[in-house]
Amino acid sequence: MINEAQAVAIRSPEGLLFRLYPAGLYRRFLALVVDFFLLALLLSQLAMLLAVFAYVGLALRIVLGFVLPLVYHVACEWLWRGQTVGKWLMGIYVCDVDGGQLALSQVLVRNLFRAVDFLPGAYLVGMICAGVDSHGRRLGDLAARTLVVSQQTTWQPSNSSAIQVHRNALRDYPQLALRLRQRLPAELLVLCYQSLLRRDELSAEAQVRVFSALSAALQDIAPFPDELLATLPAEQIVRNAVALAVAERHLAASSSSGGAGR
Amino acid sequence: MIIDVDKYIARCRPQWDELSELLERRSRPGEHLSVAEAECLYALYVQASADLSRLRTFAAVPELTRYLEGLISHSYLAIYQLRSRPAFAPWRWFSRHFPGAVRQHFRALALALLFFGLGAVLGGGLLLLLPASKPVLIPFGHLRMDPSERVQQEERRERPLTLPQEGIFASQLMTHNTRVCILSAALGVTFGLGTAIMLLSNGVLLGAVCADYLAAGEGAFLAGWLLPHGSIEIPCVLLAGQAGFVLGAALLGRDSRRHRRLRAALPDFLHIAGGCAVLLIWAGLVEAFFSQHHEPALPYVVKSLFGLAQLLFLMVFLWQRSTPVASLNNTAGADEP
Repeated sequence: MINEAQAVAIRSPEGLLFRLYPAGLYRRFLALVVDFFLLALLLSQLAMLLAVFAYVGLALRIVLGFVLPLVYHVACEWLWRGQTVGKWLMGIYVCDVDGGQLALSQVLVRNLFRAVDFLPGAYLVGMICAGVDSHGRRLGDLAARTLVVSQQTTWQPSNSSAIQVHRNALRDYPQLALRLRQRLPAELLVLCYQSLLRRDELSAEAQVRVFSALSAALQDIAPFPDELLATLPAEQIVRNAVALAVAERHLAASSSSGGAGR
Repeated sequence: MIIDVDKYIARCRPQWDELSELLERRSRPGEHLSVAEAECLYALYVQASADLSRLRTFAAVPELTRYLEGLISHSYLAIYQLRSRPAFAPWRWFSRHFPGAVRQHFRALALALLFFGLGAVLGGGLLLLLPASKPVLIPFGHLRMDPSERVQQEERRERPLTLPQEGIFASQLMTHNTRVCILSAALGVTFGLGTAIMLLSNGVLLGAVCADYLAAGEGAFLAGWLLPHGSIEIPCVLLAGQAGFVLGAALLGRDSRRHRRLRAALPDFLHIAGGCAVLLIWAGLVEAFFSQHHEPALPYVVKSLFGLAQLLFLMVFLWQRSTPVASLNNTAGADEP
C-alpha cells in the first residue's frame, strides 16, 4: 500500500523532480522475517558442519551467531544496491535520503543500530520510531540518513488502463457540471489552474492541504455527490473542474469571437 | 484532462521500455553497460523525467506517475552511483583511522571518563556506606560472594576450566562484550543520554566490586584478576561511550547543519566502535585463557604487570601521532558519494 503523504520528493542535480515512496511497516516486517528464516537455515546448516569439531565448533557457532547476521545484512545491502533476499522478495530497497546509492558507512551504521531498534525486544523501539517518523524511518535509518522505499515497478502502462483513469467523472453528473460551468468564479478558476501548474513546487503535505482547500471551495459552489467524493481524490476533483470550466469558456470565447466576425 | 493520455503513452512507451530494459540489464550480476549505452541511459532518464513533469502538470494518472517515478528513481541510482569503492585495508584502518578518531574526539572521551568515574565513586561509596545494598549494586552470582571466600575457592582450584571450555567462554565473552559496546555507542542516538546511563551503570558496578574486594583486603587478587582483561575491556567501555557522545553531539540542536554534522560524525563513530570490537576480541581471549588462572599457578604480580603493560601499550597505540588527523579524515570520507 503506497502512502502519498509519506512520499519523499527528490530533486536531481539537473533539477528534475521525482518522488520515492517509503515502504510500509508490513512489507518491511515480512522482509525481516524472510531474512531471519534464511539466516536461521544457514546457521543450522553451519552448526551441523561445525559439530564435527566438538568444542571448537561450539565456540565458532557462538561467534557466527553474532557475526553472520551483521555480515549478511551489511554485505547484501552494500553489494546488492540496498537489498537483502527478504527486501528483494518484498520489492523494497534501502537508499540514501537523497535517493542515491548507499555509502559503506551508512550501511554499517543502519545495521549496527539494530541493537537499539530491537530494544526492549521484537524491534519495539524501531517500530515505534518508524510509526512516528513522517517517512517511516527507524532509528538506524535516521542516524545513517537512509530510507527503505518501494520499487514501484509492478504496474505497466497500457492504453486501456489509462482510459479508465483519465475520464472526467464530473461529466457523469450533468447538473453538477452545469453549476460549475455557470458559477465557478474566474478568480477561483485561475487559482485552481495556477495550483495545478505549480504543484511540483509544493511538498506532498502542502499539495494535500492546498487541493483539499480548493476542493472544499468547489464543493461550496456546487454540492458533490458522496460517491464522487469517495472515489476521487481532492486533486482530481480540482483537475476535472478546471478541465470542465476551461473547455466551456474556450468554447464560449471561440463562439463569441466567431459572432463578432460575422 | 489537458493532454490525451492514450496518445502520450503510445508515443513515449518505446522509450520507457528501452530505459527499463537498460536498467534490467545493468542490474544483472557481472553485466556492464558500454559507454554508448550509458549515454543512452542518461538521455532516456532525462526524457522520462521530462515526461513525468509534463504528465504531472497536465494530467493526473497516479499509476502512470508512480511507474515513471519508479523508472526515474532506478535510473538516478544507476547514474549517480559512488565514484569509487576504495579497497578496505584492515591494518591501515585499525592502526591509523581508529586511533585518529579517538584523538580527534578527546573531549567526548573525557566526558565518558567523567560519567564512568562518577558511577565508580557512587558505586564504591554506596557499598562502603550501605553494605546491605551489595545485592542491588552487584547483580552477578559469583561476585556477590564474600571476596575472601571467593579468593580461597579460586586458589584451591588447580584449573578452573578445561581448554575447550575456555574457548567457548572466550567466544561468549567476545560476543557479549561487543554487543554491550555497540549498544552503548548506538544509544548516543538518544542525544547521548542512553550512553551516559550505560557508562554510569557500568561505573557503579566496577566501583562496587573494587570497593568490596579492597575492603576485604583482597587488593592483590582483584588486580591480578581484573587487570589482564580489564585493562582492555574498561577502555573499550569508555571508547564506546566516546562514540555515543560523538553521535549525541552531532544530533544536538535543531539547526539546518545537523545533517552535515551527522554525516561528518558517522565515519568517526564507526572507526571508534569498530576499533572497540577488535580490541574486545583480544580482551575476550585474555579473560578466558589468562585471567581465570590464579595463584599459586600464576602469581598475581605477573598478571598485574601484564595488565599494566597492556594498558600502557594501548595508551601509546591510541596516542601515537604518526599521521595528521586532518589527512585521516579526508581518507575516511573517501566512501562518500
